[in-house]
Amino acid sequence: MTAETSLSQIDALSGIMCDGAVSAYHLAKDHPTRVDALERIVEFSYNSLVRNRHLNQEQGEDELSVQIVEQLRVLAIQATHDTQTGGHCDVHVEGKDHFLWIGEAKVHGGYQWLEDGFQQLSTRYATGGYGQDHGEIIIYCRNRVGLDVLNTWKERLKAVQHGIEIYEDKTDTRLWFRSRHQCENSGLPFHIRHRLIPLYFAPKK
Amino acid sequence: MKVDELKLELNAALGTTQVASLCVQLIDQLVHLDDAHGQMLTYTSLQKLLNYPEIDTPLVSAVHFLTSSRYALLEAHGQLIDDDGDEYPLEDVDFNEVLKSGFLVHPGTGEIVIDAKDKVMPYFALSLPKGLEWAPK
Repeated sequence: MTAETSLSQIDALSGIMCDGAVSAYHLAKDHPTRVDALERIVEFSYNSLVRNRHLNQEQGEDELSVQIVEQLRVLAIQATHDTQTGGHCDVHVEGKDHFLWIGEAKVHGGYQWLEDGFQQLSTRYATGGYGQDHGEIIIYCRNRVGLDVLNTWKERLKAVQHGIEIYEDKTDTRLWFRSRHQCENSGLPFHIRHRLIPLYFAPKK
Repeated sequence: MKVDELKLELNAALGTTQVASLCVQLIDQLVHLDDAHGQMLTYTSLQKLLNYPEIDTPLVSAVHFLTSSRYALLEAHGQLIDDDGDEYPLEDVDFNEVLKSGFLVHPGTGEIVIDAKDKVMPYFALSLPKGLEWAPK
């Protein structure tokens, strides 16, 4: 056994709940690895919101998003809420080598509202530039059967957004799908994960 | 940008926290390192540099913030120390794969490394942002 600190030991010290994703985010050698790790980390935040949905029924987009940001900050990730990036985005994560990942959050209240969120993320915040070509639509859903909402959103997106491509679909198992479209600003591809957070809470007993 | 300005920005980003304080202390120590001593920094050597009692979560967070944030001064690398005690610096692509999945092929033997994360040691090299006025003393 060496005296130096192993990756396992660092995983244990830097957020064991996140299954190594925190170390992976910080130590990543490239942006795809960083994005992969960040997506794994926010899943733990989303799961926390779902677990505690009986307590957050009255909270709006900002209050829910702030909880995600604060959890990221505790993990030493440079995350902020309401940061000015061509507008005020909900979850703003920046890092070395021009890294930028933006989450645009919406409490589902209609598909036009989600479309507004998509347009904000796509045309206001996204650059598509190096290290800045991934983002997330975070759909806080208090409707019954969130799966139906996400499927409907996916079909609507394909209908209204010319040139968009759905290239990975985990709707049925993970409540997310990925889209890719050409960023109007740069002409480069921009990747969005559309993640529904099921917050419906109506116990029958 | 001067180092003092960097520390101010870093404090603004992290707020009044132990991690922020450790980041500033680390910068104060790193500034003394010349190139030769800044290429193989481990968690242990950074701990000793600060005369900090142990490698704990705040220290790891501070090192990580200085590695991944917009204020990064450190570049992470990985080294495999195998069961024979032999050391193998990892290619970036292999280090990334260990970080993501825990999977690693031994660079020397070509065999899959069992429990790779127990045998891979992260280390850091000073990697200064362009424009930072940094003068080792």
